[in-house]
Amino acid sequence: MKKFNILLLVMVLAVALTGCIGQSKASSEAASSSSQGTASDAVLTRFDGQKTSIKELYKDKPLYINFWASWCGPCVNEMPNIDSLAQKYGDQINFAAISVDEEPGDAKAFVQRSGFSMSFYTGDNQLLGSAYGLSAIPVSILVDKDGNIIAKAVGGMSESDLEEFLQPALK
Amino acid sequence: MRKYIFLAAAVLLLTGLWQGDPGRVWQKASRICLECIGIG
Amino acid sequence: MARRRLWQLGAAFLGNGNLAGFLDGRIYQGSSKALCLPGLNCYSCPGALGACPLGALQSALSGTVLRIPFYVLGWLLLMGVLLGRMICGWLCPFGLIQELLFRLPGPKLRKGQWSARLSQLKYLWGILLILILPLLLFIFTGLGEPLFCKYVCPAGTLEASVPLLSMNASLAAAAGWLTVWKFALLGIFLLAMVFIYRPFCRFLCPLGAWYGLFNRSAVLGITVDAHRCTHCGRCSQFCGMDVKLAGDRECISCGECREICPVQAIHFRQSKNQSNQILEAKHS
Repeated sequence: MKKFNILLLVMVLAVALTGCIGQSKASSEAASSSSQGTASDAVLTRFDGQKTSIKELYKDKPLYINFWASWCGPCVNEMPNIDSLAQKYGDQINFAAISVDEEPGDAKAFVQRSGFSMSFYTGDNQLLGSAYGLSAIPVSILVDKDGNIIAKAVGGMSESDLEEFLQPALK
Repeated sequence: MRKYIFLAAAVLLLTGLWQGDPGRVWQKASRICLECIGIG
Repeated sequence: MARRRLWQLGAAFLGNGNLAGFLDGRIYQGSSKALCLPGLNCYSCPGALGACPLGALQSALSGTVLRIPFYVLGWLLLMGVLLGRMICGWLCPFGLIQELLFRLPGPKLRKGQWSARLSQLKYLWGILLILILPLLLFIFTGLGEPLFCKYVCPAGTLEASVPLLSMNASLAAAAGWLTVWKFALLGIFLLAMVFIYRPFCRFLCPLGAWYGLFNRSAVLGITVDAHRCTHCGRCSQFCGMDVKLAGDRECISCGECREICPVQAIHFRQSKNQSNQILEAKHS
């Protein structure tokens, strides 16, 4: 009986600790891997109606892409951080927030209310979803001028984490 | 009583279908909601 | 009892049949995700082929746009009036997990006044976490949150977080203090499930609380023949849930009390004749 209780306690602690282990896993595993493939091209439509493409956006400068949706709490919470850094580094990096809302009207209404200055886009959600493996959002992707994905991160980021994420493109 | 609940359920379902609710359910159910599952 | 277990296993595997998801750490994105499953089944589970009705309800009240979730409400109403809490007893994977853990050897905590009172609290938690607080958050901050899913639901942690964190490095990198909280809570629940029968179902599940409201009017489920019942209380004593009488709001229609009723007053609706014939043949 005593052995069983100890075993049970160990089991519970193991489960509880998995969360801590998950938290401490190196973010470099996901974020700073240098070779994560090429950024797939896709047509994008800016919220003001102007059409462009992902290839166009990384032609002259590295590109930061943020996949988000207006119904996603972490996405919405990190948007002011992204906008702030877009204002700071906009001359060195292109910033593109691509909404995967099934109803773009919801995303547009949110952006209008919030008064962000950076560029927001919509695209073909299915194409983007399979090209960039979007099973969770928000996703941040950093692309160099040759179209190589130099960093990728899943989940909302603080302004300092985001600034660190952008460093490979600022060198 | 039961038939009124059935009627209410039918009205709600049809209204939801008409305004595109299944699409909204799909879009949220097909992306991992990180905060929903405690990742963050 | 074996028949019920088969239904539970069938529902668990049918609702979570995307086995590829468990291998590559992704979730299913097919069109069946637009359909709600009847029981508590996290849609971020890699195997999930449908949406969790509670998660879908929470989603409607979270984000930057508020909409009345007619479709999900209609579904919840339909499931309630068809099956009531029979869903809990026969179709919910998380209920199955709790029953299996309870079968592990160890001391078992008897129900009593304490558990009867606690079981009433799930209505309060449900209204607060599913409806009132998300609405208030939306009104004051412009952004609603799926509070129950985010801070409480152990089904999401077990069915989704555990497989996804183990298989998907980029998700593991996103883990933080919320993850620690959810896993600690899950650990407590898993431990409790060994010593207490279905603690989540009895004390916390808002879905069970909702379905329980329909138990008396549901098409299927356990009912008591009022003419035969002598109010001896044996069904209540025997039951692992906090029922006062078989078929009330706490009853999950498992049917195990039918055999202990001394006057055979308990039966499944729509199958009264068949149930009684089987019971009478057994007792003769």
